[in-house]
Amino acid sequence: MTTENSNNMSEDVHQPSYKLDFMTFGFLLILTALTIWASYATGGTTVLAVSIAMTIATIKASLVVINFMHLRFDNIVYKIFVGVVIVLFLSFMLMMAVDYAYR
Amino acid sequence: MEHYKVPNSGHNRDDEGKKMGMWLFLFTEILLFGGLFLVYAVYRFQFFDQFKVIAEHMNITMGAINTVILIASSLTVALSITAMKKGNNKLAVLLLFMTLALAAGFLVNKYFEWTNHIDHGLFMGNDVFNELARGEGMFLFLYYFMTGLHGIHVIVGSVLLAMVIYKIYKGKINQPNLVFHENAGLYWHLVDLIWIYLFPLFYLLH
Repeated sequence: MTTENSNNMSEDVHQPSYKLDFMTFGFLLILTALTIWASYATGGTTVLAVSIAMTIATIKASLVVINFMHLRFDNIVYKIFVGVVIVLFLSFMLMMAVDYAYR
Repeated sequence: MEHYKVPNSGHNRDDEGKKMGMWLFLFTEILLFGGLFLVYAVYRFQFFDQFKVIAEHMNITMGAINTVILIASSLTVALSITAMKKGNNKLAVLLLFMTLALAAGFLVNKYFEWTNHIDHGLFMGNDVFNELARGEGMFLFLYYFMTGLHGIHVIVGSVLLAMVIYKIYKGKINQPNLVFHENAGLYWHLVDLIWIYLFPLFYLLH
């Protein structure tokens, strides 16, 4: 019985489920409400406001990629692939920003 | 001329290859929008106050509604893939139709938003637009360009999802042969992903 339960549980973890989809949706809605509230609370255009907005957006994007795009269930190769691209992308953005700021 | 027959031709599938190809394509899309986000960042830095002034014209409620619509459409796509994996094709098709309805809702909302701005003269070439400060015009140009490009992606994504529905009806997509459905879903989630960044950058600068 215990073995069967643990098998079912391990299957659930490695397969998409309705519950996970709805939970992700719920978190995304909460984070959307939070980002709107934060923009009013911080004035919208301050450095703090932008930092908070971008942090929340990145958390939302991560939830979409990991749960909705099923990266959680994918082969390790895809995870490395996405990780490398994110690092490359952020490096390009940073290099451009530094170049612009000190030009 | 001699013809060669590939053994097992027509019976092999390369799902991993197709999925990898889709991810590669999505990375090029991220680079496309990434470049635009850089342009936005530079002009925002340059015209900080003007961006803030013109952003007052953005309708936060409309933006928020569209955000919820896109998140809900991402949910229905994810649920449809889950349903297919569990062998529930009818539910999957229903969810895909719901996604198409949400996509249409998003575009209608955007249409009203754009026409409202255009009616107020806030479009390239109008007298009101021509009298705006350079940074204000730049903000509006980027707004139309980026949300317009995003809108085109919504339309392309909808066509892909309509093709998924057709293929499910025809029995061409069926468990475990779901890679087309999954790839269309990946594209749709990318559309959602881009909007997640567009929303705070254009609507929440007040």
